[in-house]
Amino acid sequence: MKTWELGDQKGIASLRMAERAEPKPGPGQAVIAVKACSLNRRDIGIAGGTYGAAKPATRIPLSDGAGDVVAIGPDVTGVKVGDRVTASHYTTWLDGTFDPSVRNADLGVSIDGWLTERAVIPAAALVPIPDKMSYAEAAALPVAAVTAWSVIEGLGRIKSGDIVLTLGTGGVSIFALQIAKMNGARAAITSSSDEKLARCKDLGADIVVNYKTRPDWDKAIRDQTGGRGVDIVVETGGFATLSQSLAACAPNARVGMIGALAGRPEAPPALFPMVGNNITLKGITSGTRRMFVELLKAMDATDMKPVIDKTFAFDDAVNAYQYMVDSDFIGKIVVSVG
Amino acid sequence: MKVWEIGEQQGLGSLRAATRPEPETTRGHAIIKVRASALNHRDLMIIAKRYGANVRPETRVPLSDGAGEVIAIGEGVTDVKIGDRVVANMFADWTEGAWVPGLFGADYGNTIDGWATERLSAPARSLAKIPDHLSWEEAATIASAGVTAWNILEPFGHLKAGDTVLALGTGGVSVWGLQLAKAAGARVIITSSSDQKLAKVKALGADIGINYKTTPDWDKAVLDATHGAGADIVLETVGTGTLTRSINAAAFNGRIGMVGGLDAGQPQLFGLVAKNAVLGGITVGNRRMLVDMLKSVGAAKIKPAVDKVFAFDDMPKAYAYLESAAHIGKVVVRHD
Ligand SMILES: NC(=O)c1ccc[n+]([C@@H]2O[C@H](COP(=O)([O-])OP(=O)(O)OC[C@H]3O[C@@H](n4cnc5c(N)ncnc54)[C@H](OP(=O)(O)O)[C@@H]3O)[C@@H](O)[C@H]2O)c1
Ligand SMILES: NC(=O)c1ccc[n+]([C@@H]2O[C@H](COP(=O)([O-])OP(=O)(O)OC[C@H]3O[C@@H](n4cnc5c(N)ncnc54)[C@H](OP(=O)(O)O)[C@@H]3O)[C@@H](O)[C@H]2O)c1
Repeated sequence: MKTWELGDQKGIASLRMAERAEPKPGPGQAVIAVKACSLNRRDIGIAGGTYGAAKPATRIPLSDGAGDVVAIGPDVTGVKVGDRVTASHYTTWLDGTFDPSVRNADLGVSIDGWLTERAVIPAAALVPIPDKMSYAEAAALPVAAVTAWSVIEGLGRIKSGDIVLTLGTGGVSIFALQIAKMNGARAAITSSSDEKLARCKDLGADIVVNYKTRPDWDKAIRDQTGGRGVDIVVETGGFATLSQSLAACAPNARVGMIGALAGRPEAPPALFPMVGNNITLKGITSGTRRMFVELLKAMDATDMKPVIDKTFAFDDAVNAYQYMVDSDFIGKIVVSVG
Repeated sequence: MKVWEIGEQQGLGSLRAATRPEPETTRGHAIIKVRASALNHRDLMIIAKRYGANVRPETRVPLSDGAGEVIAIGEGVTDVKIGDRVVANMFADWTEGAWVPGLFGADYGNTIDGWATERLSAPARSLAKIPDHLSWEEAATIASAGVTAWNILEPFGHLKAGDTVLALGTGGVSVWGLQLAKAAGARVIITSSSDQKLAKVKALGADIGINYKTTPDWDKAVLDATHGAGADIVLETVGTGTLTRSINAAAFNGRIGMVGGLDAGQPQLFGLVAKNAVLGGITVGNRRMLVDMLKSVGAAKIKPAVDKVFAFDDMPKAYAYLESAAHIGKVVVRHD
């Protein structure tokens, strides 16, 4: 079978195609005939050797994918050959609070991932795909959508009428917008592009602000909420945007810190508004398999469809990576396999 | 009756004694014969015009914390009766639910008159009855420091038995945190600039004391003392200057309640993400939290740590003593 490998991790040009024997499932494992995968921002870092320690050159990349179970090993319960599945990328984090050991079994990072014709996945992490969802749509979810869900539901305990703010129009942010809307909340979103903001409006965004033309975007958002501010922030920008995110918050707001898109901060974040406004800031490391199952139930019930910007062929996977680097997309980038 | 007023708010010297007519009984209010009051760090800030918008009249009566006996009630008051021993929630209008910013509009000792008086007219909805085992001096320590510690540990921190709690310094909030955490089956680590104070808080139940002057990397000492696990809950009473170390000292999924403005600095927050830790801004608490806390204090028969008691006429000495930071726990004033 054909598979992609990380190679020597000097950038996306290091990615290499290889030929391997068909995998056999070990105890607790399933072999999946992969139909689709998706990219996340961290995959750029992984390919460039800047995401944690160097990985073996033969590591198969990508945390997100979907396909059919074609073989199961001993001691596998809960899935059978023929099931349509995706998987929780922290394959040992099924439920409960975070434990750093989950990083030891992270698809596409510390264990082989999805960018291959047949993937070997720990069966306990597999999640069945709703009938009406395509493989590509399911493959878009594990990292980005579960992270957005973890902030909005797990931390944020969203209720209808809340206002959710998300920064930029990448994978996590567009899911955050959609999850906010499906919960009866209002969604505020920022972007460097008016064109992208127009697409967000079509997706239901209530408040849109161009952070390039409005460097004081926190004020713009506060004004558009009648001075009240937002209840939940999906903080994809990182510590460089945190002061402004906090300034855009309503009392009792919940801020999920997940990203670092905006680079290194020039000055340490100004935290003082947190005390006077009873704001909560939490570090978020994606989420659990249980959250993933809850998300799929909610998507199925509300007919929410992931926004897939572009789909690349398996042989063109490097172009999918380049397309992410160029950042001229909204939502998710998918690779179709087989 | 005698009261203290904040005067021009140029520092401790601005405190001034005054006499006023007795308060009248009005609708929704109770008249309290104040038996004791207690000081908080913010009272030092208020008297020096370093707290909030600083638009207080010179005649404002300071202190958010006190305890006393109800001696009269106005129309419409049903929750307390004459003879009840009571304390008041610091934000008089924050009875329950989430924080709303307007609550600073009825803040004892800041935007409404506080407890440095012989008789106080208090909105009855802010009052709560105190457990029998508490003396007036002990009960006076509860409203601000006690409720703040409770809010961090329980509503915010979801403390459970076996958790490790870290408290910074041996001031009012920290020592209340120590006592409430011990009552709930937690292990407590406390830091101080003084070995003598550490010996005293150990006598109050602290499991581990760390001198942050002689051990500047006290965060590492916390990790060592917990076999690398760190503290599940941190009472971050100091401020952004200690926050980086507080995050280092926190456990995975740790809860860090931030209340303090003693020391400002440039925090490194990345550890929050790596640890899935939560940093919460805390503004004291609501009356429901006060009632829940009093229930715990009553059940566990907690004796609040009263460091020193001053006479009412010596109020400026009580302020000076708090400022000297020679205390552990609370500085209290007796009203006769
Ligand atoms: N902690 C976790 O579990 C976790 C999970 C998933 C992702 N993440 C992190 O979250 C971030 C988002 O991930 P992703 O996969 O959604 O990324 P992505 O799809 O690559 O997002 C790219 C978009 O981010 C926006 N952006 C860049 N700089 C920005 C800034 N200064 N302010 C606002 N938006 C900015 C741009 O939007 P416009 O073009 O519209 O301006 C860009 O198109 C990344 O840092 C990622 O590493 C963390
Ligand atoms: N947001 C809120 O709801 C709220 C409510 C109450 C209090 N607060 C704030 O919480 C803080 C504590 O208030 P408090 O009334 O408990 O104060 P306090 O009784 O005056 O406590 C002062 C103590 O803090 C300790 N301290 C000072 N600098 C320190 C440092 N760098 N590291 C560790 N400990 C240090 C010292 O302990 P040692 O002498 O043992 O070293 C000192 O004795 C203040 O900033 C106050 O404004 C906030």
